[in-house]
Amino acid sequence: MKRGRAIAAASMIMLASSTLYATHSDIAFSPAVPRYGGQVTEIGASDGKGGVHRFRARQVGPYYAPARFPPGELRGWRLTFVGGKRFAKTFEVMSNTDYEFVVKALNDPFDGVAVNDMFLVEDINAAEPIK
Amino acid sequence: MKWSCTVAAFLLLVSSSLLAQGGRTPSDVVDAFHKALRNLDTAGALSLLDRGLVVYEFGIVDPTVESYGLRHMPHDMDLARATSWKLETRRTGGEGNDRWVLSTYRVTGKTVDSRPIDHTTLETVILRRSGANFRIVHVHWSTSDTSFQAEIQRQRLSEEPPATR
Repeated sequence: MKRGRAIAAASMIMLASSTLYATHSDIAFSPAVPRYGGQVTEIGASDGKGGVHRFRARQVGPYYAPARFPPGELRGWRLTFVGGKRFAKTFEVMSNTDYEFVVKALNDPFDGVAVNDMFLVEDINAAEPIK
Repeated sequence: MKWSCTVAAFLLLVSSSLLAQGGRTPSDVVDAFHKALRNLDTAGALSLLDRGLVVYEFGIVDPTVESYGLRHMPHDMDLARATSWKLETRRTGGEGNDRWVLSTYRVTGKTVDSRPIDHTTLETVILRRSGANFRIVHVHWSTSDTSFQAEIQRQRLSEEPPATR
């Protein structure tokens, strides 16, 4: 019984958060993909196994998104730096918590990413085809 | 014979110069930027922007490329995805490393609550040669539809600078 209530409560929260994300009254256009903005707060060490890196970050937008990164839900999302030495370079999220990311280098090394660098993380696979 | 050799050498010089720029004229760069926005190609769009970019967009200023990339470029992607931009007029100019491209577009589509969009967007783009390529250093967008402009402005003003959050 308790388990059933917990599942129902979790479902309600998920539904509420997705509704909040998708239908904020100030949005003229639906977000083409789910996305978050982030700012690097701490750089971790590479795991030494070919370009997997760990860093910490805080969520900085967009305003219609939930206030925190959803733990475990950004795996496979595309992470692109909008500033810093890795400007316009893209990485793949391997795992995340609400404040920590593990990313895999795709075409470019992670070296040079610094505290305060800004990035976008986007679920590019969720994009609908252009009509 | 001598004349044809001179012409051939000139053509070779011009074509090699274009190839050195990746074959992209300033107009090509503007078109590629719009295409990247519509294709949700974040890295591709950013790669066409100069690190000194300043954007004036519907009455809002993005003073840095980071500000634009984080706060407003995503909205431009959403807008590009939801609307069709038909190029109506274009003028180009400038010389040397500094060029400009003036364009007007007929923009049509629908908002999230199905209100129709049908207006003209005016675009000024200034580009600067950076190495082998032209990159965008300034964009200024405005529209003939004052209510649309006000709506976009309100939405974008909702994005506080990251430092204040």
